This record gives sequence, structure tokens and C-alpha cells, in this order.
Amino acid sequence: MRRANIALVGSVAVLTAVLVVLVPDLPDPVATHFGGDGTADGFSPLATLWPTVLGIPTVVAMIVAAVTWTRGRRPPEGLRWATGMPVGVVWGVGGVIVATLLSQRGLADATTATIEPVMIVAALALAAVVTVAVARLVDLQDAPSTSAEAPAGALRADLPAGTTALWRGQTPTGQAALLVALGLLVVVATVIGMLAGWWVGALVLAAVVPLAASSRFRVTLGPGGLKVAGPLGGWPGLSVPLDTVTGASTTTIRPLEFGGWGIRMQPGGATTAVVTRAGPALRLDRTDGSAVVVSLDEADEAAAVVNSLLDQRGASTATGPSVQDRV
Amino acid sequence: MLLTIEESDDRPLYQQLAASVRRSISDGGLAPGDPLPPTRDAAAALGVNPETVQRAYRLLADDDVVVSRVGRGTRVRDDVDVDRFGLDRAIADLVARARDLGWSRDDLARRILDG
Repeated sequence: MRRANIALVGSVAVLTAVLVVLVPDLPDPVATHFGGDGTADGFSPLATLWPTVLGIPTVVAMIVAAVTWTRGRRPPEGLRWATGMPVGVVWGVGGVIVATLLSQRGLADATTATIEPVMIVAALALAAVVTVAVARLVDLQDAPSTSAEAPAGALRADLPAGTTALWRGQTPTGQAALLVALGLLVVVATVIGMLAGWWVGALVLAAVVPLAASSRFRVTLGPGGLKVAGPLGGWPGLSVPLDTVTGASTTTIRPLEFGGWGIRMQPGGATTAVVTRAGPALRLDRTDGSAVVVSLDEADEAAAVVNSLLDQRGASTATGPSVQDRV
Repeated sequence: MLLTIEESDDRPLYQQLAASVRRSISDGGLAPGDPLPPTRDAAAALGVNPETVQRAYRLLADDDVVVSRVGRGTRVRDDVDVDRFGLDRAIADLVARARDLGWSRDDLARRILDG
């Protein structure tokens, strides 16, 4: 975690340095809020800038880090970008604030300040790039491999020895709730767009993307492990190699225990969830002590297949390989 | 939906895969209109050559079980007769039971022909 902590502290230091350069050229009071038309409509004393500009990104980053900096555990493949989020938050929140300050640099009166939407978009785009870059640098531990069979007494499928199996299913969808949420989003975005400007409404409407991405996932289980693919060309998704799974079982999950629908990580990274409704779920326990749970109506069938695949893994490690392609 | 291929089964892999799809249809794992896994995904997951999966899908298409469309992948036909696969499932269960008893396929075939 040393590299991750250095990246976070370094980002706050960069933000501080930017403020040191900008503050002498800013008006007092400084504009701290802008309307949908880009003109300044809220102001604060310049002295409040330092705790606000440094405090808000740092506090939000630490909250995000509590979830995504998973006590040294690397999240499942497909979610590793999340480990860059704490640093991305500093650059995103800090970047948007700096964009608003740049629009007032050299002005004697902050009431004349205006901001272009493209500056906000540029700040957020920079934050996304930083998130991905930092995620590649963060030094987290991969779950170790194992070739052990499934625990005694676990659910098992009736698969003869030497069978290779592929199981495919789909997470259930709370379609009524999804349609209501989408409808409300369109209404809210339209109203906000009419009141605060088209681009603000467009930003609100963009929330339909993560909403749609939380609605339905295709689940595949095979000798390679678990693969979850979202509705947007497979995004969002995650995968868990079979050699990091120690056993499969069924459980019951609720969206609220994970803070909502879709792909969720609990603080500390103990559990990663693909949750689309309250009800039965497949649970995979991993070698690093974490777990992955996936909403599935056929959770018992999926768990049985996984445990049988673990048994096949254990047997083939002991006796040699596997299905030959006889085409 | 569960697709399986067995080391101990001496049939070619593509035939095993096709039989596995029929079994999934008969036991409700695949419904009319349901998509089958993309060829490369199924091949990678099962550790077989993609041509094996394609050959299985072609066999099923020739038997009017599935339909393939460019850009839409392979799906179970909307008008597939699910009941017809019940017989396939009964035969698969019979073969499995015979295998458990140590019978060869030839033993089973002889027994069936003898009535």
C-alpha cells in the first residue's frame, strides 16, 4: 500500500501547490458556486478557500479509500480500476474546484466570473486518466492459488470424473423498479435542464448509464472460474479465477447491505457483490479470505457446479490432465 | 444452462457438446429463443478448439434446434419442440445408469435390440 499512500499524499501536495500559485491572483470574496449558465452566483471569503479546497477532496478520498483500498487485497479482475479512485477523487474534485478558480484569476470582482462547461469536463477526464494510471501502480496482493478440492459437505453436481463443465445463467432483474428509476431520472433531468441549462440536464441524464449497467449481468462458470459480464458490451464486469476459490455455497443478499444495486464492494473489501435484487445468491469464498456474491435464482445449481469443478481441479492436480481435444 | 464434456465419453467432443445443449433444452436450462454462449467464449471456458464448438452449433442448426445469425450469435429456435428432448434426456440417463453398472455401449445397445 506504500505506493498508493504516496500517490494520495502527493496528489494533495500538488493541489496545495496549485493553490499557492493561484490564491494571490484571486478576488476576495471568491466565487464558489456557478449557475447552469456558467455565471457566478455564490461567493465566500478567500480565507475559507484553503480548508475547503484541501479538506473536501481529502475527506472524500479517505472515505473512498476505506472501501477500495481493501487492506492490501487486490479486488477481482474488472474492478482493479477502483483502486485508483481515492487518488482520482482528489484530482476530480480538486480539478473541478481549480477550474472554477482559474476562471476568476486576475479578476478584481468575482461577480463577473464565468466558467465554460468544457473546463469541468476536462477536469473530470483528467481524473479518470489518473484513476486508471494509479490503479496500475497500486501495490496490492493477488489472492494466492490453490488446487484443493471443495470442502466436505458442500453442494455438488452429479459430474463424472474427468468432466469439463460450463454453466451459464443470468442475474434476475427487478424490472419494475428499474423502469420506475429510469422514468424518474428522465423527468428529473428534463426539469433540471429547463431550470439550470441543457448541459446540467445532460449530466444528470448521463446517470442512466450506471443505472442501466446495474440492471442485468450474464454469469459464466467454468474451469477458468467466474465471469460476470454487464449489459453494456460486457461492462461493467468482473472475473475470479477458479484457482483462487476455496468453496461455493448459497446465501441471501439484499441491495441495501451493499449500498445499492449493481457491482458493489464493502468497506475493507471483505465482500464484492453483484446484486440486482434481494434474494438467493451464489457465494464464492477465496483464498485471501474475501468473498464474491452474485444474485442468482439458480444459486444452488451454480454452487454445486463450482464445487464439482474444484473437485475436478484437485483430482487433475493429483493424477494429471484433462480433456483432450479429439474433435 | 450446463454444458459438459467427459473424458470417459468416447464420442467426439462436438457431439458431446451438441448433446449437452439438447439436455439443457429438455431440462429447462435453455428456453426457446435463449442465446448460446459465443463460440470463442464456450471454447475458452471448456478448453476446446473453437472449431469444435462451431461444429456442435452447426450440427444443432442442421437439426433445426438452433439458428445462427451474423452479428446475433446462435440461439435456440423459437419454435423448438422441447418435448422431443425429453426422450434424449431419458436416453442419456439410461446410458449413465448403464455406465455406473459397468456396461459398455455395445452391451446396452444389444440389450435394447433384444427388447
